[in-house]
Amino acid sequence: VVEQYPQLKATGNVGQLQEELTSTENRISFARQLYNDTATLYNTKQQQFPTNLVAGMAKAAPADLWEIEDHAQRAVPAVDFSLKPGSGSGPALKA
Amino acid sequence: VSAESLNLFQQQEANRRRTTWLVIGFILFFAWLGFGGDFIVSRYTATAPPEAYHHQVPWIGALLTLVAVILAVYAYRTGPEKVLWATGARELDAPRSDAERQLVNVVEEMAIAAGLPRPRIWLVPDHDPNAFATGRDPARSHLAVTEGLLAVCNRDELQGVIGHELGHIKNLDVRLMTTLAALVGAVLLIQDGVLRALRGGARLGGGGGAGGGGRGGKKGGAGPLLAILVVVWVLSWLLAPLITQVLALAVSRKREYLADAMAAQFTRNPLALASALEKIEHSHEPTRAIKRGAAHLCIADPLGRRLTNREGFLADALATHPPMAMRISRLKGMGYAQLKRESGQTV
Repeated sequence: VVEQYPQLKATGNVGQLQEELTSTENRISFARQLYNDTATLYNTKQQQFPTNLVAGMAKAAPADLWEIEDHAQRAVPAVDFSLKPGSGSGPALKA
Repeated sequence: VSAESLNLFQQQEANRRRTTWLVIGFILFFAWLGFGGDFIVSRYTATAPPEAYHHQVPWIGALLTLVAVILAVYAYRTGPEKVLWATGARELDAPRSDAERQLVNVVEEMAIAAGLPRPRIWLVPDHDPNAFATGRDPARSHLAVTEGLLAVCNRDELQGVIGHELGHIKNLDVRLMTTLAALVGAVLLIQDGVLRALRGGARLGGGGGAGGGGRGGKKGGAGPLLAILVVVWVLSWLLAPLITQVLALAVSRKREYLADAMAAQFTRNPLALASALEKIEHSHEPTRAIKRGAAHLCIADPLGRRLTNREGFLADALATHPPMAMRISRLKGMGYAQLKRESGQTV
């Protein structure tokens, strides 16, 4: 539907839905980014000079990064706006 | 990227320490104004005849120091509210338009990226794009943007600007700069009041002025040291606002680069902030809602001063912000390095 009526995109509910989808996606990826940045910092500290001594004594182990290998998980879920009978009564998320 | 996070704790510690020194310096300065005055008056009245007034109790100094302590505590406590009040900002608690909804979303996203609690969001009714953050600590911080910024920036650029402000919050820059803003405001206010009182006093005491001059002439033998002291004392009264301004400048320039770098770390998109800065730069209008006292809090100099465009000794001494061109070129450098890395990975 959006492809056929481009003006839908800019205004009204579709625009709001798009904004919410973008925001949700961003929140997830920023949370992952923060975790990975912090884990990387922690791992770096374990190997750098003054702190590696303490890390050795405390038996600190490097933290795992949160990587997504599965491409299906990484892919952005597509949003189906076609109001076909059988696909539910409204817009549905296709995972 | 992680070079900035490595010295985050040092940066926070430095800002805590600087805030403390700022408050101590402020109180000491007022103590000097007060006790210096006491000393001068006591020297002048020391040779007065026995029945005349002798200034022995340094009550001016005690009073001014007390006022300074109260002011500093008050400034530290209510600084954020005062700054927001001075800019006429209104809190955005229930977004009414799509642009406001987007702003709330972007702030929440960037708070996640920065690992901070979400700051309270304020809108400044002004058409010039600008933004600032204030607050005492990350848990109770405020983030304000102008309506012009919402109109001018796209989503990515808004992210860059908000990331920059959250960088200031995370560094505890906001504590130092807000306290400074409140103290600058207090000094300006006091000086205005004192000057008005002096002018009023001069007008009232116009007849007595000649007699006063004669009395001063008789004490001419008090010594050159005292004369120098008097000159320095009067100068420090007159220069107080200038000194606080220079302090505000010295405090704010380096950390703009740092906050830019942190925004790049949070968004992973330095080019968006660079283009936002270009847009802010190209709107030549000064941000009228933001007054002098809060200028150093903003992402770009709200007064639109020409000094901000230059490097060099004078600009280094007098501008609150580093030259926009330098900031933009640094961000672009980061952006291109990132693009290079990414293309290297995919090949």
